[in-house]
Amino acid sequence: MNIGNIILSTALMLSLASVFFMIRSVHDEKKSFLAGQRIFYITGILIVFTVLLLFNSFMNNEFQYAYVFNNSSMNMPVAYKIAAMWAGNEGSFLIWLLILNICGIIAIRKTDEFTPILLTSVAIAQIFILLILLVKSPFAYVWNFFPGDFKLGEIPGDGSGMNPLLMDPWMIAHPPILFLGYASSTIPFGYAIAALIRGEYDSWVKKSYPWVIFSMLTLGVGIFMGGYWAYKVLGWGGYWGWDPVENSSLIPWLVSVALMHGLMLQSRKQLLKRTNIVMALSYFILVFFSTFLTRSGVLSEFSVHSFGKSSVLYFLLANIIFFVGVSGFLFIKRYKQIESKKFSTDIFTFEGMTVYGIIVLLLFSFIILAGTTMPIITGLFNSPANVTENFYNNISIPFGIMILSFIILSAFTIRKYEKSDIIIAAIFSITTGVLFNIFATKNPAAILFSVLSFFLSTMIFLDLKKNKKGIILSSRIAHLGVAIFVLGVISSNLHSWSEQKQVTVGETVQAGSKSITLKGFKEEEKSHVLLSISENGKTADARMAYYIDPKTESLYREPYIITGITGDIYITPQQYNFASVNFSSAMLHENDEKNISGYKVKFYGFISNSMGSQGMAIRTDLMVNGKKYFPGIKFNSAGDTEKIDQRITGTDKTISIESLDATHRSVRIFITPGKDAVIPPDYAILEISHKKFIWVVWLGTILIAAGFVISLIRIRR
Amino acid sequence: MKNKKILVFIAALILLVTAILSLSDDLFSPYVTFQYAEKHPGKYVQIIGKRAKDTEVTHSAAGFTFTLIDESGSRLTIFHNGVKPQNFEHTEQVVVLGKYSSDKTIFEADKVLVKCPSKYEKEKNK
Repeated sequence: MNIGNIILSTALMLSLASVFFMIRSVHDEKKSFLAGQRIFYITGILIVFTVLLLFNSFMNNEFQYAYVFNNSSMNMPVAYKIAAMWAGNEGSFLIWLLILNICGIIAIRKTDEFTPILLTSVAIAQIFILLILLVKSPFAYVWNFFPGDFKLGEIPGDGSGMNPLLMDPWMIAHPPILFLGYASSTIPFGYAIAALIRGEYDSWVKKSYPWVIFSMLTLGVGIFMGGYWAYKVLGWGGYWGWDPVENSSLIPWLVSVALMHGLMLQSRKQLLKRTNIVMALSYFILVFFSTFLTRSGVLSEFSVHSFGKSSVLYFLLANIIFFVGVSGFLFIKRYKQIESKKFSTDIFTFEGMTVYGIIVLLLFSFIILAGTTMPIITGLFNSPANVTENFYNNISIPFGIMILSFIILSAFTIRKYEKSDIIIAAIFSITTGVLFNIFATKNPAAILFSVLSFFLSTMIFLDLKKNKKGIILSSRIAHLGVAIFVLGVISSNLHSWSEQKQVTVGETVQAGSKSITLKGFKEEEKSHVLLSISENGKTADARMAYYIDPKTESLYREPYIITGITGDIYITPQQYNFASVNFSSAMLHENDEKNISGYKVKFYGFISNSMGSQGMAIRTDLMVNGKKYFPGIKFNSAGDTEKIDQRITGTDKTISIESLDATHRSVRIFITPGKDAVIPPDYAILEISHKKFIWVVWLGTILIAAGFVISLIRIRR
Repeated sequence: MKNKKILVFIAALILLVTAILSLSDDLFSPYVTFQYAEKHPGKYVQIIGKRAKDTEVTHSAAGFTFTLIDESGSRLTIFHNGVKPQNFEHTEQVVVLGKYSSDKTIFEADKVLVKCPSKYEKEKNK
């Protein structure tokens, strides 16, 4: 046992003790409750200590820990060593645990009759995460983690480092913010459970409302950041790909947005009492279910993010089954008892429109969930089938239109607009909506979306001109954000286009008003493709990372983005062709003939000679300009290789085998090019995308987040 | 909440979703073998394989071409006219979505997935 695991086990025992005292506090109120609460505080101290311990291990390069070894290395900057704490499964569960515990402590600080049950719920969630951490501990030693590769007590000299794709400032902020959202979903859940057990279905709403807003804000900002990161750095070309990992945050987030609206209706009009309980319970359970989908490896073949199958699967599954079981049991037991006020039969009311909006959000979330789990569902009966991006895109059209429509309609129910205002707004938004699209797309859905978005924005501006008070402001800003976001999505997808161009060094291609010239390649520790970009006589140099990362042995490329008011020009280096390499080497299969450094080379096959205890040699049977040559590679018994090069008779050029593949009978042959050889210039294949008004998407997300922040500030007062 | 209108609304939404799902044929991508893909040209499918290391990825302005090998050892040439994913050269397995074209005897992919930036489980590399 090591110190980290001992602390984690102690925290687990104390969490159990805390639950035990909380349950006892039902009988002898005060004493047990105080004991349980104090014990929970102690678990907090232990968890903080564990995080510091892991932090310290990263700072001191303690590579005896497999987690440190896998995610860090000696020369990594300090900021990324901190980010490495959540770069892997084990560490991210630990950060989640830390945030969960802090949320718990804040929520139970002021005690009331709900606190014992709330604390029990938090402690049980904490117990599950601690169990996962003990099974997949961040403090596992390398010799236990990689048995056979490391001897007992052997400490690796350096770690394997972080994936270069993750070495980005966004990696420092994006995951912890998501975890804030994940972890804080536990508090509304705890209150909902408390409401069910105590049989009071009103007072939990006020208590959990700020937590729901906080959770919705942080999870939302986390998702937005992820999209921005994917666009800016990862070179996926877009900000959203309906990937399981992305969906797994979106599904609970949509539920949290629905829940927030539901709680608002309950506190104002005593409606939706049952629905709100169900939504609060589902929000939390969906967070865990999503984690299960992405972390357990069940979808690893269907995602661009990959996570190996792991034993975490069963713990997460047990966790979900437990919470679903408890929640379901309590809810069914209390179902008849919970009474909401009946709806007014008049359909066109604020509550009516909001309820329809909530239904749309929930069903949308459910369909995304169904799509994401499709490989598992179909896998139960048949070979697994996945859904395509079109599935999500097609579904999003009617749901998006309905969401916009209900926002607009609900605005009409609470505010009397002048008839003339409405007519002017309608004419304005139809005109702009059509003009916005007509030159780029005639897609009717795009036009409808645009008209609705412009109409909503206009109505909000008219509204804000008259009234800027608290509750109005937050909802208007967030809804304005939705409208602007939709416009951004339309222009950045439907008005955008991309093309692939083959560009030779020195050649210039046009991208809109800009001229892009390929300057060449700069070889350094982290190599770059060099460009120069000019417009109106002004020229600027640009560089795009393009190198093989030594740790992962994979090619790392970064896009170059020219930001502009009308949109971004997004340049991805698809491939840089080193003409000298193509000129002087080639891959040949049996009986292939290719031109290498000006020689005709034909490959007939392999000849292998065993050299007894000294190992073996594999030679190739080649015909070079009509003469036979047999260059090869020698393998000795220690596993080292040595090349057997051959000189082309009468020249100073040598034929060398760069690599060979005996099973597929292919070789890569290199011939030194002569001094007089005319080597063609290098060329690159660039993908140049025009992303129209992509900043409008970012603006929309910022406004949505701003609306949530305003609402949070208003509640805090 | 015994509101009939709400139930009607939900039923209408479900009908709408069903209608959308039944209208288009490229919403689902069943996992199939290379043989199945080749025998059903034009059908939208998903295949998985290892990149054949004995062949090279060739690029042109139109896109890039590579060869995949499946578990049974059969090979399929894939063409994709988009951006080559990060980590492509290093990846163990490649998942490809698209249709087989019998005229060009090539699998035309509209999506290529590889293992990725969130390396939550990594094979040892010492």
